[in-house]
Amino acid sequence: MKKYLLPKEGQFYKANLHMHTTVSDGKMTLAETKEEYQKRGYSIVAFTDHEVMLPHEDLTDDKFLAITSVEYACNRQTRVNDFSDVTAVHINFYSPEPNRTTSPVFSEPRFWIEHSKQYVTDEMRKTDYKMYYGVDHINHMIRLGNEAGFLVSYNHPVWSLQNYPEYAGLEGVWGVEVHNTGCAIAGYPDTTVPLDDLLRQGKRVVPLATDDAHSFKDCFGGFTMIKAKELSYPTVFDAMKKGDLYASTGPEIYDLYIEDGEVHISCSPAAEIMLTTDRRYAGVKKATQGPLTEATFGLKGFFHQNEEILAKTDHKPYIRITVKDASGACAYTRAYFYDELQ
Amino acid sequence: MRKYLLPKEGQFYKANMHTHTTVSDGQMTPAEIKKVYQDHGYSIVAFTDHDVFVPHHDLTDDKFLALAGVEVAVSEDIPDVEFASQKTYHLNFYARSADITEFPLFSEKRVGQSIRGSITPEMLKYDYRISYGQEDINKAIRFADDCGFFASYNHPVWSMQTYKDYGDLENVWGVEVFNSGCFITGRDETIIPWEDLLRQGKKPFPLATDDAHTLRDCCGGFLMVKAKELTYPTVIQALEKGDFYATTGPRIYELWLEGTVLHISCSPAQQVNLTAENRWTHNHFAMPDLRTEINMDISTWFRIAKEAKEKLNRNSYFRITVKDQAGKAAYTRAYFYDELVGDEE
Repeated sequence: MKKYLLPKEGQFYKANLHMHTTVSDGKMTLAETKEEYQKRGYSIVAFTDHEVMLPHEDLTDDKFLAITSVEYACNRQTRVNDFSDVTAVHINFYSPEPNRTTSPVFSEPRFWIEHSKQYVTDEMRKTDYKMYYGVDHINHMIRLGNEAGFLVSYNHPVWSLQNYPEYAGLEGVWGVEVHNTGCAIAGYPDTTVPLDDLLRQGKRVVPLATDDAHSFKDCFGGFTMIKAKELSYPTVFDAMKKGDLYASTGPEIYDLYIEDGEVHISCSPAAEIMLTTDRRYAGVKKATQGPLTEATFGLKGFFHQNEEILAKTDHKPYIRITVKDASGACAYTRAYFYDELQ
Repeated sequence: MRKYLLPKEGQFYKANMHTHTTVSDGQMTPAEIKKVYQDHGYSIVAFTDHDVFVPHHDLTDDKFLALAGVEVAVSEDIPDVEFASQKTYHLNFYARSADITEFPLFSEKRVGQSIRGSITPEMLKYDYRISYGQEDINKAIRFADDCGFFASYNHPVWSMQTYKDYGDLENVWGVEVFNSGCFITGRDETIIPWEDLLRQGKKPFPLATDDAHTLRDCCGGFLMVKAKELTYPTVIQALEKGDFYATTGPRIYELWLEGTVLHISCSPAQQVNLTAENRWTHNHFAMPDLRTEINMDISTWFRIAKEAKEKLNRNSYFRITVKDQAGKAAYTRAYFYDELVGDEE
């Protein structure tokens, strides 16, 4: 019997989950954003303008969904008077409902983009959350967000100049960027290292590929494909929360399921399909005669090792799959943990 | 006046710095390795068989240089758990001189069953134990240095190691940013461990290697070493000075600084990035035509670096990545402020 890792029912909606418009420091207006993304096959954009969360329900129609969201920045200043020397935690909050404007970590005095202040309402002003740099403080913020129903992403760790001691202790994170177009252009390459570092602790984070678009230059690079039964806010939010998605900079994944102790994937033409796990157990299928459009990995050895590993170590067994095309662009499934695979 | 970041004089020699042969668990003999690599334009191969130090100077001739090395593995010791779930340090040690015949860090305890046939009585004079952990690894690297060997830290991702395992490593000559064997078995190349060490002010070089065990993992990642001649001492000197870059394809022909303008000439590139320990970058991306020559004004980098020096006593660096259309990349080493302004030789 097939066990579907990406849901059998529903359809894939292409999403950019990290976007800045003229509401904050982006160059594109809300309407332009919708138009340009729609032209390129997107159905979903999360508007994550800096510090201020605004509903954009007026953009939503039967072919397009605007997700209400915001990006918060928590910086650690150094004595070098230049932002390039500042270590920064950037996190996105995704609202569980479209018409929300309040957030438990809002603070108007924190605004660093003057013209964004015009969007602040009295309702928002009721909160003035003081943010502090450091894992414990960030976790406090994330916890408040989670308690209010938000999904929280941890953005571009490399650009943020963060390393393991700074992100490994994060709790309650829903997603981690493995690709961020703005950052990739600026020379901060994709990486799955922070993702695996969190996964290996048993933290169930999903991979995100986003644009972090501020202008046309950094649009349409990384996207998330969300599989849902319909393009409605609660359905899509629920699919995000459940992890019915994959992240990509190009390749598409069509099917992903387990049958008879093997995992099957079908995808757009690929040069390589790779299986990664919590341990050194891995697999690769390489295109030899023409591109690959599917692959199967036996998991017997993986399952066999698990019993021992679960009994003797604190490992949290998982698998994830990466599809790479001839240009080096990748699609990343989320990690599927042992309890979901049985 | 130009300051050459890759030496002006000499020529580039293509090198694979991580190779296994039938002396340990590789499938090709040293002579077969020489042939495969020479057929692919290589002039240098470092033989780094597991646990046993066996030089192959007999393979060296005027067109080929065999460097002598050995790979040492120090794993966690969790009883009754398969190796696939245990973290491990893999370090290569490279002999500075062709006259070195013994590796005093040898221990029979570490030698795998299939490699025992390569143990010689001379090796058994030594029994140098290393336990898992940075303190012991650092001690081993220091001792190896005293014995004439310099060390690389290999494939951190395959080793399942995090900052907690490598952040305090000292005196590492190079860190693998690419390893063909690991890459084709599903582990990404990553610059993170290398950069984590650079950001502490340590000066490891980037390495792209094959870790070849079979023909399948040959000729993927390599160094281009610029040296005046293909002799053991000259090449070792170039390696220790960092007169090379690591690459999986793209070539860098020239790299020099004139005032605050950095000049790069390279094979056709889609993306050229300058990366620093801070967030200041300089980028050429998705240019309408592929570029083979770039001049970057990096006066901003100099300004920030000067301030960081004065206020934080930090020795800032930058490094260059050249990417081609297939996503393959060449990495220069990091160039530090002190060497660029000439306060330090």
